Amino acid sequence: MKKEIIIGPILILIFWYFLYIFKLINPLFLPSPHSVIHQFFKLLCSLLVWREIGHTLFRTILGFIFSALIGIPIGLFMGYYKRIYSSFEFLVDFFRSLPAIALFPLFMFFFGIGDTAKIATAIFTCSLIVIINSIYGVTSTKKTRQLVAHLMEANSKEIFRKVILMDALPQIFIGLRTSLSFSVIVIVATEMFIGNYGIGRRIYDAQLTYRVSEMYSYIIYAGLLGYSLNKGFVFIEKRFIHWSGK
Amino acid sequence: MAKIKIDNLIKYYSSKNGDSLQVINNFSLEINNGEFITFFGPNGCGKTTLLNLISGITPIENGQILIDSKTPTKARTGMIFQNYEESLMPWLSCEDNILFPFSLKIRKFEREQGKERLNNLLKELNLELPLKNYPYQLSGGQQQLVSILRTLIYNPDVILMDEPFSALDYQTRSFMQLILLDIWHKEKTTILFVSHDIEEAIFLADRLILLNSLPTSVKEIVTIPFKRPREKTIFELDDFYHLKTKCLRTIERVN
Repeated sequence: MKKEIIIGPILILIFWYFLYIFKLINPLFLPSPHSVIHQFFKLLCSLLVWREIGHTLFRTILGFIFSALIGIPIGLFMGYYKRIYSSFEFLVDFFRSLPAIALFPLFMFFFGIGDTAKIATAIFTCSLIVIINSIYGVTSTKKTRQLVAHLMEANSKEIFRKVILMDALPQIFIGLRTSLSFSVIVIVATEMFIGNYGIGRRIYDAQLTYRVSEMYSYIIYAGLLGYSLNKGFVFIEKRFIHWSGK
Repeated sequence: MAKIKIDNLIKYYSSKNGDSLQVINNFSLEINNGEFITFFGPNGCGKTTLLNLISGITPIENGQILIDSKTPTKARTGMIFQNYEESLMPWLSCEDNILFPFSLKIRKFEREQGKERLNNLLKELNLELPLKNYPYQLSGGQQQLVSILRTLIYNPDVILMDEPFSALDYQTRSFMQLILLDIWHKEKTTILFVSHDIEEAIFLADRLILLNSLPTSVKEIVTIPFKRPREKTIFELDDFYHLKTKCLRTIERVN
């Protein structure tokens, strides 16, 4: 890791202290950095935070996995059969542009107030991201490789499985990575609406009761969760899709 | 009997606005077994289309092509492209790239023979390749060599090469030409080679086919008189220079 990496966070801390010391922002809304850090570690030691992270993580991962299971086959299919893609292009584009949270109340009708509605909202958003990237992955594959395989007398199933699918994988993984980030966003947002556990719920509760340091702490936890999921995914991606961008 | 017989080939392409463009006109040629043929002509004269027709990628509408008395779609052809990066599979190691033909159902039970053939080829040609590495870890010349070996290994009736070395630097290109001749001597394959470099086209060929600009047809067939095996030193011969000038004049001449 590069040494410069800590410069940004340190600058932010200094700026935060600057705002705090000169009382440029009401301390009720922006407490001191040390009180937030104190609260952050207090939560960590109380282990309470792990229950909240666990709930959010569980929903996020479920939303992500289902999005992959739904999105990849549909995307591959639509990418391979361009006529089908053309027929559904408008719908895919429309739903992708729709802010997912707008559908959460509707999903609560169908799936109740438990985890299902939250996960369904995440799946809705994320599977579309996976679909679009998989379509793009298939349609942007190099014709030359398919011709090579064709001349070697590969049948169309083999060309799809051994060439097109592999060629599309880097783009599919970009879709998966994006959808993982979106899954965290959607889950944390829906947790604020309803339910007892989850980082989103804690942030919202802390805000309602003016426990501002706690609110900031949970915001940082939410950020760390999204960050580590993304980094973890990149780690796996680099090993698995070693040829990406080469 | 000729290995490849091309008879009165005509090809039109229809553009989007409904016009049709003739790319190949009355193209006839007979190619012998084991012959090294090079094509040389102005850019955009339909050389790639010609190769695509011979390989069976593009369907034939007018005229006929027979390879060992088989139509192109029935014959087994191999094609080497200029862009080796887009032709190799970056997710496979070099060895798996070369053995790719044996990962297909049609040669399912021949993988061991394929591996043996690869080892023999490398030994015969005195070549060393980092087989466990991925294509993107290799130099351009090595990558193109991988794609040539990948084609050789399934014994196609004819190997078509579409400006295979034009993306390489001068020295590598020169080196690859010598390797290719070596391969051709030892494997006795029929090779059709499109080049936009007249020296390369003369150096490699038994017969050089000079082409007309669009629509493509045979302008002149030049039998190359230089003895084999050829060395790069023939470039310095007066005969080579004269032949080269003559070919270039022929290409520039308006019919």
